[in-house]
Amino acid sequence: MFLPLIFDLIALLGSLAALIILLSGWRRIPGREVKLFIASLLVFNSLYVFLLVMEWSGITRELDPYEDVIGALIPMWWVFVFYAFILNGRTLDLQKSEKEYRLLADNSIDSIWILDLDLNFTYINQAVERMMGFKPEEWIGSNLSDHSDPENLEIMKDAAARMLQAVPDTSGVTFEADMVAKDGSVVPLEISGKVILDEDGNPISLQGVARDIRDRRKAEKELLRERDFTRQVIDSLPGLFYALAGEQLVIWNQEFSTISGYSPEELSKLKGTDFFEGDDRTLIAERMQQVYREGSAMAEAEFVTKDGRKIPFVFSGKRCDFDGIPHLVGMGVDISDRKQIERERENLITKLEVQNAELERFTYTVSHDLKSPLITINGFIGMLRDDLGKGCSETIEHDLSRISSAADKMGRLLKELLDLSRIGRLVNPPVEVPLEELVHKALELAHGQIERRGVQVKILPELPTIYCDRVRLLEVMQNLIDNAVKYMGDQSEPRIEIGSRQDDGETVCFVRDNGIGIDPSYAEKVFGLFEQLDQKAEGSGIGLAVVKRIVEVHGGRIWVESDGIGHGSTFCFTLADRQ
Amino acid sequence: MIHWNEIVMLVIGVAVFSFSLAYAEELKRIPHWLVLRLAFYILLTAWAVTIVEGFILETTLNILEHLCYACGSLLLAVWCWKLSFGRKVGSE
Repeated sequence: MFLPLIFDLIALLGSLAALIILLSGWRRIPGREVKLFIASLLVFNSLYVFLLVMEWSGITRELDPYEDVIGALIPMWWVFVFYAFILNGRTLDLQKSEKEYRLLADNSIDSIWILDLDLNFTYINQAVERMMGFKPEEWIGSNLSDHSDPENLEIMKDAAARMLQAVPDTSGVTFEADMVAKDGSVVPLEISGKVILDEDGNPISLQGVARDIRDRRKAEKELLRERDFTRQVIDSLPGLFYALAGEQLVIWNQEFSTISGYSPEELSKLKGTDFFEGDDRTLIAERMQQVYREGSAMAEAEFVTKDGRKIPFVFSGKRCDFDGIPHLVGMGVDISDRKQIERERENLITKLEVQNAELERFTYTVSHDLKSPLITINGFIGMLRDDLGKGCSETIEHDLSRISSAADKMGRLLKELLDLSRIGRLVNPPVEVPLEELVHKALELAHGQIERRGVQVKILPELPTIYCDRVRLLEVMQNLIDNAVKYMGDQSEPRIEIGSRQDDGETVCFVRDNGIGIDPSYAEKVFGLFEQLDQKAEGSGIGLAVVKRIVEVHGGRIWVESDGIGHGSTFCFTLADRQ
Repeated sequence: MIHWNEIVMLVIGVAVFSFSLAYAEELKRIPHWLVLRLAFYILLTAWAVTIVEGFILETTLNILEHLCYACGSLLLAVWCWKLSFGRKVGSE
């Protein structure tokens, strides 16, 4: 019987001690409701054990009914204590969450705002002061129209209308607009907003975030400026500039578009190999592979433009990786001039080789033909010496005549050689001359031999007007007519036709005869120095060489057409255009 | 002998026990929760034992019941001490 009483006394002391401790530390315990419920629990517990002490000590049992009631209250009060703690915890959580949210909002670099449906600001965080210069309390209560010009206000009103029209979709909109700061400066903002709905789904406000994008705008301007600068640099590059991703053309300069003749839209669909044909296309494809494989390559190829022109270029390529994707970047340089110079040099070399050969032949021929009269003179001088010794006047006269004849021949040869050497050195200014006029003049000069031989001359209509050294071209026509008359052979109806024709857009002048003709194998040889197919014919064999030289000095060509011996011949020549 | 008030105490006690299990996560945040929970469980034991003593081991279980009151009350005192003057724990 004592043990329960002792335990009850201990319980009473413990419970009272707990109550005293609680009261002494009252301020340190959070939550008014929590403290009250704990205190009341301890009071009920103390009363209960006190009544147990009364009962077990035998002092009185009259308080048993109170003991029953208080005993039932104790477990119930535990629920209150627990629930008070739970509510207190939730309140603390809420306060903490709100505190964190405020902290977050106040420290946000972006402005967080709430607008009512009349576009009045009901909340804005501290960031507005940094962004716009207004304190939050100055901003709250103002209308959106107080901070923007009419144009930007319209943009924002339109965005708000779109947000409201999208209800019940509250995903929101993002747009850019400018607002006016306190100092009057314009602040570009990226604004995201959404509609806030009440429990019934009706819009009650607009909420969102505004971000100051001055730095971004500045960076974008800088980027655009750099891009423009780069574009200008690329466009100012001479020749072609290009960048390929794989085979696809992705970047090119203005010159590329100009030279190729393709529009930017067309170029964006073309591959690098699309500008080449045949072997060049294969070569370029190989070189492109080489660039991607080995890092760089070069190639010479003919660039084919949209209108089919072929322009020689030397292309370079280097591999560059952008965003991990290999690109080919390079340039093409027009080498038309270089190619032209190379061609001219090759032509010059060929011409020099021909002239060297001609010079050798000339030297040999001249020395041989000049030697002939010298041998004659020398021989007849010996004979003259003998005849003088004998005093035979008849043979002396004959010897002197032969010596004189050989000297004349030599003199004539030297004169003609001098004339030949002067062609191209001594020139008259070129003029436009109707060929017909030259032909008539030449016929006048050859009138005697034409008459003697009874040659019929026919001048065909529509002879061209030519741009030439008049004196030299007269010489050409005179030589060709002389030559035609000279080689008439036994022709019973000798005839000469002088005319012109168009061959591949080129004007070809000709002198045609029905004379002895020329074996085609001698067609080139007849224009050589001292070349005479008929050794019995008159002349030195320099005439056609002179004609050829004059025509070539005029940038033209001369050739002979003949179906062979007995079929006549046609001497044709062209002259360079006036340009 | 079984008293009706003892039955009521036990029933409410079991209900509180269930409540404590249901809200265990939130109740864990009570400062020094282990001490308070132990005090409650000991008192719950006392409320159960006082019913059982009506059927078996009356004297022994009666002593145990009062022992539980004593321990529970002392633990409440300890918890109040920790709550008022002990090291701050939990979320408060």
